[in-house]
Amino acid sequence: MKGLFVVKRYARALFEVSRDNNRLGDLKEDAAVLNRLFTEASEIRRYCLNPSDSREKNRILIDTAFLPYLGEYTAKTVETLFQNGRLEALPYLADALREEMDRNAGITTVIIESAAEQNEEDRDRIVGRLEKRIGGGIRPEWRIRPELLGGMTFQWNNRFLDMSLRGRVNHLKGTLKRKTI
Amino acid sequence: MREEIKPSEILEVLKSRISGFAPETTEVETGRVLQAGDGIAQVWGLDSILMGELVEIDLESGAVVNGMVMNLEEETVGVILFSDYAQVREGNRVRRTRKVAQVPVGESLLGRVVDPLGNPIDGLGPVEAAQWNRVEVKGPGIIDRRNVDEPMQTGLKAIDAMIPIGRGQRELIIGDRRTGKTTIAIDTIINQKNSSDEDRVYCFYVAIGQKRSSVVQLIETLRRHGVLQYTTIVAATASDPASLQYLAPYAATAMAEYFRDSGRHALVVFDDLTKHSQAYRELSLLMRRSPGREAYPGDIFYLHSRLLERAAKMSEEMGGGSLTALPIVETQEGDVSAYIPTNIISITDGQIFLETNLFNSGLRPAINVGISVSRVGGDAQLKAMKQTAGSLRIDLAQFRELAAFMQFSSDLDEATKNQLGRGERLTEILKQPQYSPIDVFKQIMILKAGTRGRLDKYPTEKLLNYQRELFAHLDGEEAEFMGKLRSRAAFDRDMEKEADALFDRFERKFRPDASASGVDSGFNLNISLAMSQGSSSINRDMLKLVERLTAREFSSPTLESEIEEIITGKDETESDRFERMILSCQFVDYDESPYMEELFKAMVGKFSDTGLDEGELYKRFIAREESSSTALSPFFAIPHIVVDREGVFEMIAVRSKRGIMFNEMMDEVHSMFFLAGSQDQRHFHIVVLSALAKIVQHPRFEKGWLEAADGDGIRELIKGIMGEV
Repeated sequence: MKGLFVVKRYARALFEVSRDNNRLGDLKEDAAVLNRLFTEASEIRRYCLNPSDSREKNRILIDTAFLPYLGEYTAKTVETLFQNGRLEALPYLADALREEMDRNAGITTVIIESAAEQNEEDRDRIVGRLEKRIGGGIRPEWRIRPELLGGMTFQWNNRFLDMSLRGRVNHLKGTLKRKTI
Repeated sequence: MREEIKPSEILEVLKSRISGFAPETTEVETGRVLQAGDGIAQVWGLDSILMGELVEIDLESGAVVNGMVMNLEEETVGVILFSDYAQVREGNRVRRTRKVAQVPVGESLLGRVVDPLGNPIDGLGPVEAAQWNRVEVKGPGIIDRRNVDEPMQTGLKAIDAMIPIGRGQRELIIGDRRTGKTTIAIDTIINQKNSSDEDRVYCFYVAIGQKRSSVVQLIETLRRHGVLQYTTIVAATASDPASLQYLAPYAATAMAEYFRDSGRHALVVFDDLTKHSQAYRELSLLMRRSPGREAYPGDIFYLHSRLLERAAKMSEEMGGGSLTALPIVETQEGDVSAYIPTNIISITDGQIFLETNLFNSGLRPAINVGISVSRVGGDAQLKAMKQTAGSLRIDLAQFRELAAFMQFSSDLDEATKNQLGRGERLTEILKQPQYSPIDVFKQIMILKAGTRGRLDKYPTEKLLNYQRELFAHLDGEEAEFMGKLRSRAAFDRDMEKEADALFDRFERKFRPDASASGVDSGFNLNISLAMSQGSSSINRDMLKLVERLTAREFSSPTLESEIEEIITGKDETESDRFERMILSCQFVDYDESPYMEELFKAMVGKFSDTGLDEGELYKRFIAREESSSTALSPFFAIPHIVVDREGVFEMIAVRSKRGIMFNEMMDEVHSMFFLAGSQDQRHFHIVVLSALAKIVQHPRFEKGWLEAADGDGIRELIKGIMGEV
């Protein structure tokens, strides 16, 4: 998690270089490769988050697992991260790249958590309302969390909107605790 | 009854609201925990958060942990966590609340024990607050204040006479560990019991980093003295996170400010700011702030100056209320030049300095009047006290200087002898046992007797007796004079004459030789010393010990010689009876509770033939303890009472391996002998006290008592010891 805000700077730099050199297509592919690599090979993710003290070992990982599969600028970014001792930030690069591309395209990712599954009609209506509220397009990520009891919560960027029953109950609890005479 | 229609309930307004109704939602800014541990979390993503704002961290379990922003950095914010911080994980969501720390305030907090967030921790249900006040606010401005001009009576002669404290003052209590710092603060709280309702001082005691057992003891002490109902205890104990310990004094001050700002008077005791500084140092180091001297952060001075600036005497326009602060600071080896003591000395309006040597020599409260000072309290002192004790500080300083010088000289002239004698007597009358504050007008009268030389003709050891009987005289026959003194609060020429006549009348009545039993403040120490000495030199000390321990009802002018005869073995009339009694008395192993009151309740049912019911017996045992503790050493106590029926003498031996708390100044007692005897058994009573005092000082007694398997083992032990002594 510590690497998350560090990698954002690298992602922005990589995005701007790729855009200036008309290589945004490659960048999209590279983001997909990185995402697949870290989700399918969890041991690589674990290794990167707690890298070895041995520079040679780390070098071998970069040379074999990353560089052969990435485009020019992404490979150079990975190399720079390695040289700056930021290997633990690497697993967050794909997310940061996607966020950067979305931001550039005016798209916001919204995590929508609800107590129960929504039907398509409701989902469309919710997305429409959110687009109106946030402004611009959104990419919804739907999650089911029964502990919300009812209603839903929405999270985008660093904003959080709680419309769940649990949130209401917690709010009520706080209000009652602060009861004055 | 006809309901009033509000403007917002007009039909058209209602219609438009119903058609356009949108459920209330709040959009909050969130961040993520990057790192958590040791009560601190680094949070990323809260770009617009404010310093001091409260945040809520959603745990995976669904629980919420509260925290407060302490550090704003370039990319992250540092948050101190108030509750279950061990469960906070990397990645947890952190929500802004847009609120700074607030606590409930109001009358309903009186008599309650709360944590620094205002949550009750005494199990007495929720606190119904009059309002919520911010924990961190600036102290009142210059225009809103006025000079300290009303006295805050502590009930302690040494303080009210020489280091007077005014309402709105900040007076530091400073000294090494176990020198009676907390006792001074508690005495001051207890003394507020005597103030009238319109003049009431509401007390707040802040326990920072203390043991929970100490806080429980304190609550019991306040309850026992009937002062808990106007006191609030804010407790952040040693097991609470440093964040709560840091917040505690500010929270208590916010609660006290409610009374100050409503024209009333409040007193806050910060016990103690040394631990508060340490808690803040811990947080600062974990937050990676630069360490300075003694590893404290750079703003450690501001930490306390902004707290103590909130103590103030308000102007008439602002209601005339006051907030008095009694911060406590613990020193190491009497070193007041350490970082935190010097800081707080420079912030406060004076300091009461306590010394271990004085404490151990029996001078309690152990105030070093030479270096103790009150910078503003003089203006608030009662005129009568000023007239009486104005020269006391100088007289005592001269006495100390002379006494130090006289160590090198043996031949003294009459004037020097007189001066030394006066100083010794003045020092003696400044002694005061804990939890027994004295009404200021009575203080004035005993000090007047001292400074006028009326005590010079009495031996020093009779002065506490003199004081006790003088107070009784003032309450009884001289009530009219005392009423006049209270209303005028000053001495004019006529009053001076009346006071002289009063002392003449009293002295005609007072018989110093017919001493009632009493325990002075150095009593327990004398006994401990006596008990720690070898048996060859102990007789004199033991004699004093037994004399003072003996119930008031048995005292007589010949008591001392009676005891002497028993101890030296000249009087053996009832030694056989004692031997029979101790070897056949009931023996009880008691470990159910560490509290003296509980033990007494359990034991009174075991007396069979005293002619008193259990309730009355209990009341008498408690009253005996209140007059003076019967715990003679950190190991041994003889709770004893006199009963009305004739021919009664019963004894119960009790062992507590866990220990029983008899008083706060001593360790737990393990060996107790309960005695209940009638007036006609007086001689035997004294024989038993003397013999027990002799037995328990035997080197084998303590170990043997704890290790004996049962009552028979104990009897064997006592039999063996009796054979040797």
